[in-house]
Amino acid sequence: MSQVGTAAGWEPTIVAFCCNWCSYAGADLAGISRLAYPASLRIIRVPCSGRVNPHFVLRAFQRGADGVLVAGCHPGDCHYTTGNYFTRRRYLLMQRLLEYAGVNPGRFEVKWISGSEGPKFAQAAREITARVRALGPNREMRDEA
Amino acid sequence: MRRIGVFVCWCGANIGGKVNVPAVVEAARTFPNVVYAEDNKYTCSEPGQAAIRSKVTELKLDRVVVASCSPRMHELTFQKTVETVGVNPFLFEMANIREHCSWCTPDKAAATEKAIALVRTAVAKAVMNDPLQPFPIPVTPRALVIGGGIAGIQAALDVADTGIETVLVERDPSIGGVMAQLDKTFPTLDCSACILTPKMVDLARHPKVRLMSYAEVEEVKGFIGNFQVKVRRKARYVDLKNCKGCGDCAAVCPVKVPSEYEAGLGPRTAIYRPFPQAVPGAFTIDKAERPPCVRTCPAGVNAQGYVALVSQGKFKEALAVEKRQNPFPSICGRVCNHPCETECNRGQVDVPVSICAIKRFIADTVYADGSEEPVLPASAKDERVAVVGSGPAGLACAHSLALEGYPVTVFEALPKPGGMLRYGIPEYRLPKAVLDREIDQVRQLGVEIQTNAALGKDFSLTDLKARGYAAVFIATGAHKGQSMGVPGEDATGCVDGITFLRDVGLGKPMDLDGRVVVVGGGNTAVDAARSALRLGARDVIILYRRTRAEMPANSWEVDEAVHEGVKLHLLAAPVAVTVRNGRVAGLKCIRMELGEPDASGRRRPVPIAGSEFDLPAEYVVTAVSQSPDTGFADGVLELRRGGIIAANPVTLQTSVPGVFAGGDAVKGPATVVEAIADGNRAANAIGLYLRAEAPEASAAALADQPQTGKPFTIPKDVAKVPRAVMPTLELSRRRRNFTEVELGLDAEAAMAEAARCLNCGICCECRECERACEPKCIDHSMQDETETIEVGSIIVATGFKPMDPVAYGEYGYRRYPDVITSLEFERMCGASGPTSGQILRPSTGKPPHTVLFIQCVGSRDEGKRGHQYCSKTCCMYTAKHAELVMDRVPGATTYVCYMDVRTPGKGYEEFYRRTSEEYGARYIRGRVAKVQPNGDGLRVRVEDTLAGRPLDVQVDLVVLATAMEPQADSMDLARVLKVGYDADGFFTEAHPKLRPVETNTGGIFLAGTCQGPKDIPETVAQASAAAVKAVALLSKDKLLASPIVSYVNETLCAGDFFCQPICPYGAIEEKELAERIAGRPVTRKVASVNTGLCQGCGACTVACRSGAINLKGYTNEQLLAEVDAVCLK
Amino acid sequence: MKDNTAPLRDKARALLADKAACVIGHARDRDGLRARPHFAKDERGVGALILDATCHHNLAKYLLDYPYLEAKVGIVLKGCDALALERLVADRRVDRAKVVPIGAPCAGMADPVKLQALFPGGVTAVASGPDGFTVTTAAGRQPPAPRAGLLLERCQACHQATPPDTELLAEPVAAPTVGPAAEVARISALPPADRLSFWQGQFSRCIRCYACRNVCPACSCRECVFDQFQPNWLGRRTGLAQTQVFHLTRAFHVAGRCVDCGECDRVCPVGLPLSALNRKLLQDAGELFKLAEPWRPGTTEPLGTYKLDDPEEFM
Repeated sequence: MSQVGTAAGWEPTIVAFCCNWCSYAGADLAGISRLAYPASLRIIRVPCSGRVNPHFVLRAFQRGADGVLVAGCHPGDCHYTTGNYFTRRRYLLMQRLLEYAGVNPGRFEVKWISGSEGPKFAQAAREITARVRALGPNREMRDEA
Repeated sequence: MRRIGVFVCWCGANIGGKVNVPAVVEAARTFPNVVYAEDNKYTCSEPGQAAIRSKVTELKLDRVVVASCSPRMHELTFQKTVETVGVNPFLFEMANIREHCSWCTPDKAAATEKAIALVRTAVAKAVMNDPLQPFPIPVTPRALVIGGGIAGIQAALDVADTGIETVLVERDPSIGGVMAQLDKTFPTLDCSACILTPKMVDLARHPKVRLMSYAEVEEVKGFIGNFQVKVRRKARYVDLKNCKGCGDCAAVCPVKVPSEYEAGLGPRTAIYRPFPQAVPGAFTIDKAERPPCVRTCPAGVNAQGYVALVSQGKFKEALAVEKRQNPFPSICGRVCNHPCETECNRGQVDVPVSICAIKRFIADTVYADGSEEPVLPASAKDERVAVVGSGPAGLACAHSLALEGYPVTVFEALPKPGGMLRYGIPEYRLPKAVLDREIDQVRQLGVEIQTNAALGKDFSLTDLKARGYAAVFIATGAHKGQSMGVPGEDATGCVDGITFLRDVGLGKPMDLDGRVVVVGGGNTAVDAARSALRLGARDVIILYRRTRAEMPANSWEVDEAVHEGVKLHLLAAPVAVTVRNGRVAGLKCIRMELGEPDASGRRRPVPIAGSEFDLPAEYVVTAVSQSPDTGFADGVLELRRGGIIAANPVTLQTSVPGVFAGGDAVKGPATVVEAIADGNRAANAIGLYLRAEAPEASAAALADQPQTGKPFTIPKDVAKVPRAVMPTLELSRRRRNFTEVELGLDAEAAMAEAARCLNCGICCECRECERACEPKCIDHSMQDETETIEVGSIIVATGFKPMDPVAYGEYGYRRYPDVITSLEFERMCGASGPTSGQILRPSTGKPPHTVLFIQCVGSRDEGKRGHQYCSKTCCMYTAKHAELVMDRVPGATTYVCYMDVRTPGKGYEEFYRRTSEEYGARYIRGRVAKVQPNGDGLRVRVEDTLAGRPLDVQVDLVVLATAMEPQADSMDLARVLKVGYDADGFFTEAHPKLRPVETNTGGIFLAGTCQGPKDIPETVAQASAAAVKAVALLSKDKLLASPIVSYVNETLCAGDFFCQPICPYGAIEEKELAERIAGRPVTRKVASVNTGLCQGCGACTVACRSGAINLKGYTNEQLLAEVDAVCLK
Repeated sequence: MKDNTAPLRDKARALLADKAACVIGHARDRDGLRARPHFAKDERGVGALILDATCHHNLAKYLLDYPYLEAKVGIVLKGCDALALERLVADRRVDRAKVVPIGAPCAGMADPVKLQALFPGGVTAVASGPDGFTVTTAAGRQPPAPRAGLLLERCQACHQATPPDTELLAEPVAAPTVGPAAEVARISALPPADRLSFWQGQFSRCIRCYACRNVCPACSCRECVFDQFQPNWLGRRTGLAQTQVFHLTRAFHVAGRCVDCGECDRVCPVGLPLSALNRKLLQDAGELFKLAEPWRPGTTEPLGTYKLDDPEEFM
């Protein structure tokens, strides 16, 4: 059921694209370490952050995501050696374009999270959720309900 | 319409405790394409898998979704399960509702809602999944082992023993690694060398092993089963095959540097073998980049070479080295401005080496005892060469040409040869006898010198051609003194510096009674001033318009001048010469101040208005500047501004072919050594010209060779030693005579001074080894070579390095000689080591009575200075060290300061008990706070945390158990290999428990301490394990590669190839596609994926705007479906 | 530009005589204010060619209609059009060897709308001289009108007035110096809420006709993602979110590749400020990755490479 508009008791939906080798493993570690973070964040597994097409991010917003996180290995540690360097360039631009188009910058984030950074993953999840919760539902770019 | 079965796992309470599993199953049943859903206690268990299998067959499920733990845990398990019942493994999907849901979501409702969303997403993806087939790739049946320590040796032997070819690449000249440096090994105390060296020999002898020592891996291309590895084989400068290892070369090598093998406790020579049992046994020359002295010398004279030889008392050999580039060492030894000393690295320690003085010493000494070995000219040639001008440039050119066998005639305008050496530099700096001696040497090579023969006056360039000279070198110098351009300069008593010095040189009688003012700040001015003093001038004043700092003259010359009584009148310039009845009466001057910097970077002097003053004087010498007198050029030779001759900077050829020019005539006033450099260069160019190899074409051949070799780093603990002082003629004996002022060093002083050289080039290229080597297998011109080898698998065994404990200032390492590291201690114990096995205090060379061992130096340290990890071996080797002390030094006491004693390993605990209980080593639990000198020993302050009180222990020797660290460049190698590494730089294994010797990159395995601290038994075990993994891979003739690779929709591909630069594996190739357009055959280029290279990262897919290139298993279709599903509320 | 029709026709004749398949140029449209693309294949076609201050179409993209020709194609290129050709060549969609560029130095095109306002009575021809546009009406030749007032929007930020290294029909001219449009700066300066409503206001007017894409020299895919059904990248409805996604994706697809020819603005039937999206990306790419903006031939595609020391904002 759609709760858009009813801010009270509303929980955001946050889509997290995680690269298989670092960030997805980091998320696993967060779970293994039983680190709690909001259930509003849901992970889509990709081989490399370089696989995340900016179109997917726009699609998520269009489909009603209230926030999007793209997570990959730290630069220099990419399992595919250079994938995340391209990610970095693509999203440096995309981030600015979104803001320019009026999408609140708080809704979109890119983060480097390694397989050993369970706590960092949980923290990132808490932060973006808190931020988006404060911003309220995505009204900037979503299909009419 | 798909037929998907969903299986939701309770994982006991792991999922079931937080997620309402039945609710998830209920929800799953409502998802499109789901025909069946159930829950299982443990889906991964056999009953769980059985349930999947039966339902697939019973309900003809074509896709399966399991909601349980992380796919990183069980994806493979379930893929295999479904495969057994005929479902392609890639039609299986997994929802991670444990790690990503039940374990991180405290709230049950939220967890259940999230689990439902995750299952919905997995189902949505499964709908889009396609069956995929792994494809076969061939395997190169050859293994590469990187690193020749015990790990590498063991791994290589194990692989090779199965009959598989193995290449072992070791970066040092010998294999053996750290184990070869150890004395005894715990817990059995058997001798390290005794168990290691046989293995080293086995390896060298093994028919299936190719040992590439002194080589490094530079680049790795390809993929599992098919790697192309570029290996750089560093130049050894010794022929590996023919070297007999006799050591004659090392015996004559003058260079001593700290031995890496002896952990710096002992020296080694530049040509060396790390240790007697080294494999291969051949010697190696260690060359760093060209040292600063050689690099700076305009003539490229090998200063390090002759200095090193002097330090060994090899004077005539040293002279030979000098003379390779400089025929006039005894001249330059006196008058060179020696830029080499300015650059000398020793200057960064204390004071530069007195290179010039050493140079002079060599020449004077060897000439004196006549022991110089004559160099014989090459066989006589026909082409005659004319050299115009007999200054340093001309004579150097004549000298080298004569050596090449060319008949040379030198034409000199003045009555005697030598140019500025004779007529510019006064005798007290360069005695004529010294000059004549080296000019005669040139004559002795058959060079004819015609004096009183001036170009343009007595003969012309055309005459020379007519007389049959095939080439001409013009080095007429810069002998024209510039006037100041002020009124009154023509008065008697006013002369320019060049003329003045020339008259002095010609020995014209001069009696200067009165005051002499010399105008100018260059060497000419100073020479003129000091000469004037000797000619009886009452007082001599140097008038210079800038300050002393800006004076172009050699500072040491100015010092001497002042020392002799010359007065400096700075910041003043002449306005006019005061003339009284035709004679100089003085100078009218004006005061100056320094303004903005000019072109030369020196601040421009500006006259202070109204500050004129009179300076009475009987004589004025104007030494402001000098220029070449090139009147002879008369249109034939192209000139540049200031009348200097235009010549190609590299070949020195002028506008007239076959006519070359150099020295001051081309450069304008410069130094002697620059002139010599030009002379040599010209000779070289003329040789090429006469051999009809156009000099221009050979510009490259003439250009300086590039500097090669590793950069040199100044050792940290060089003791300061004062620089040799040049003895000089006492002041009283300098008046009214031109006796030489500098008296030269004696042998003792020279050798001591030479010993201060840091040997920045390491090998000094004196070539003594060449002469000593009977099989003639030394070649200093050897170059690095790179070779690409094809292998199917790589074992990385690059080992560790002991940490440098200098960061732990409180332990006083390097400050106090009696604080050493455990590796240094090992060398001390080694029977073949620097102390041949005796444990001695570095400070006294006597055995220590009390030895204290500090453990965990750099290990188990939360702080910035060390590492968090435990180095694992220190507890045991420290116990071993303690026993060795007590065995070898009767009655010695040993203390061990430890945090915890860790002895996991067979016989380890027993060993430790023996050390502490039978041997009575005193174990103190606590970190050492401070080590400081006390009496003739050291006082160690440590808190005994068991007794809870601080202790002060007086000891003779402190041994630091330093941490094991990754090699400094481990991360670079990791990038080359594309393997992971941890925060410390150790390579990471694919799984800490289940895949301990594999990396995340297929086909690359780990062995030994490059993966983490280990002792020898563990290292060897891991090496054998890695070998088995490699063999298992290499014994297949083909492999099945993951089908998760990119593929191209050729209809969509527009062929812009934006995907190409993104691919880190170069997997995207161009393919020509043949089509028919309107019945006409046409072709277009499309992208095509080399599935062998593609690793499936998918970065290329984003670069493709039309989505023509896509990634199997993570297609755009699948990911869009996932996004839609995950966002659904 | 001043009327270069005569030299153009001569050149076109020569080319066709030399077996060129076609010469792509302009012909007079329904009135003197406008020209339309014209494809001259014979003498009659050549007779219709014109070249004056109304020929603002960027013709480069029509070259895609001649993919597999043996014969050459002549094409009239203004400075901006030349960049467009470079773009297509860099994207390997056009074989330079098959193209004969006819260089048309251009001091700026006249804006038909502004002209209309100035000459309600209608216009028969518009030429451009050193001192502005000379307009001919039924009443005859009018005194030159100052260029600034009549310039086409995009010409005010002209990047290249004369096509480099091509055979020119006339002497090179300087770019109009009216200074670049400050649109991006203006929009960026808006408070977030206003910026959102500004763009939503714009996008809500979009009718998804794809004219912007079709005219764009950087949009040359064989099949555009927005025309694909499998995968269904984006629905066909004109809901606001969809048009937002369409425009942002389109802008991103030309990110740093745009040659800033401004055709998208010109062709948009509802007048969306599309170049303000492309220019934003050009400027950001320029600042972030230290690149020339707009894209220039021979420079690497900003998203096709990386530097280890690119700005790091994602730690």
